[in-house]
Amino acid sequence: MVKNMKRMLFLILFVCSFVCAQRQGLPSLFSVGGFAVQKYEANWANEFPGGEDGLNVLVSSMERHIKDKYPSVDLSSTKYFNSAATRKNFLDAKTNNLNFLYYHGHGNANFITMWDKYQYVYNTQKKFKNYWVMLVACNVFRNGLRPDGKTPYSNQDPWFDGVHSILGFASIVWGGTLSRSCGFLNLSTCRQHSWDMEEEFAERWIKNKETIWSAFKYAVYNQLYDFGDKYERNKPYLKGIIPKIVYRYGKINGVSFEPYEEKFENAYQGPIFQNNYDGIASRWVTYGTPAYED
Amino acid sequence: MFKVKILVILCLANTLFAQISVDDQARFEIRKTNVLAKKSDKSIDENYIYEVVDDRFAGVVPKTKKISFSNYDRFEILSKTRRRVALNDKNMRAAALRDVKDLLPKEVGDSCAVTAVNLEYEQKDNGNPRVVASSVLLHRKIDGISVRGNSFINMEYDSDGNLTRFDMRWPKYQKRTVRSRLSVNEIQKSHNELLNQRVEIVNKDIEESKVAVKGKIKKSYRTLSSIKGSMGEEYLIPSVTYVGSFNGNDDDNEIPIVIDVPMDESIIPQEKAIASKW
Repeated sequence: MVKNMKRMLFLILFVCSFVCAQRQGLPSLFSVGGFAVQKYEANWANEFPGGEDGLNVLVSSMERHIKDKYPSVDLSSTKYFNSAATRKNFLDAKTNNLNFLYYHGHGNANFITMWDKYQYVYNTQKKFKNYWVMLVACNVFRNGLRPDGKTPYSNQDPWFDGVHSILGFASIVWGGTLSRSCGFLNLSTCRQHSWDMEEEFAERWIKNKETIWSAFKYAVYNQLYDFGDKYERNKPYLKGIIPKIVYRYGKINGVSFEPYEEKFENAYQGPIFQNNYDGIASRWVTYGTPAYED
Repeated sequence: MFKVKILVILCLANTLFAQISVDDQARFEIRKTNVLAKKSDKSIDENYIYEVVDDRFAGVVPKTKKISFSNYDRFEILSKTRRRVALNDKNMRAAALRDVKDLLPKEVGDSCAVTAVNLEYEQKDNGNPRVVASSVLLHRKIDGISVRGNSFINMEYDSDGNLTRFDMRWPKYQKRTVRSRLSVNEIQKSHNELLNQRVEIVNKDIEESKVAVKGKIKKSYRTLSSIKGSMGEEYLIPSVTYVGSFNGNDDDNEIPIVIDVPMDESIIPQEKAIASKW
């Protein structure tokens, strides 16, 4: 009898180890969307160009690559532009249903700004449950200490409640289109778009199967900074920028996991590290100032 | 040669004039233009241009796995070195030059220079940030002049300084002698106008963003920068690359800024441009 019970218990534990384990792989449904505050109510903040295109391009690129590579995955998208990108909508629980949440607008250490006049969302007011978040906003994850010499500029842990990783910036960010005359006798117009970053990110992460951090840092490098004109756009100039990824780390299914390495096709399904995790970590890149010999 | 010297002197004078006009209205200043003058001693003794004749690097790189992307090739290292070096600018420059010479044909190793070392940091909890990875960008040199864009090697290193992979674009170029369609005065005027135009773009951006206070050009280099003809054909043309930086409102960090200005855009071959109109 005791022997049978032991066998039964072993069997239950064995089955549970599969059932209860966090699943890795592709989602059956992938939902992507977000908030683009390009203009602000009654111009209470300056226009931040590139937001509407950034959101549109991110959604369409992700959907295109998923359809090509993983046709079995169903897709859905939700977009909030300008007057719909309110604080109320951002804080609404239904935004948690998006697997990938995007935000484009002004920000600073620990907060982002919404459409409505003087409305901000602070790190203590929004706990992300999405799989991934990208905040295209200045300085939200600013590095270093405040003038008191003790308090860090940004406190990242309050944003987390299951989100695998948050992509953002520790520096200022630029958006919009740069146009200039180019070509024969300057008769043509060359344009460089900030939303090429979102497009390259989707291509690298989904089509090229890179890790989320590698996809983001190189998309920023190539499109918002410079990379020897890899994409042949004859950029008029480049500017420094610091991309950053923030994540909680620990063990999942008994194995150490750091979400900066997460790949789209092998991602954990569902929220992670809501309660049990070892700590919070971040990675960022500083791009060296180019120097040429001559 | 005499004509070229005159051109250099006039170019300097004109650039200094441009400095004053830019300073009057802009927050991004053009300074130290004397650097340009010094570098220009090695001036061009004829007008020339390089045309891309083959987009890809044809060589074989042993002990790597090659993956081709639309505009470049990636080489993943199959057997890593067992290096243990601190990731800093000096060590990574040396490592990158050594690895390029070990892995790639001599003509590649002998004709490139490190242009930027990027460092990746990791911070866990409240610990001090540590450098955990690095990437080193090398640009090609043609006839001893650095190429801005379109010919590069980007090398990625792990936390111990071992190369993990590199991306490469290394087209074949053909040098062509061309004639300028502008007079010396027009060349100077055109160069300065382009420089001012681009500085204006920077200023407009800075003004709109309201996050940067001021900046300045600190250095200038003779380079070859890429430009496309109206048929989409790709050229390298003699240029000046201005490297500077600016500061944010509440940030002590200097943010780099780079502006490429062709010396004389009129040397882009005309026949293809005209053909495109038909």
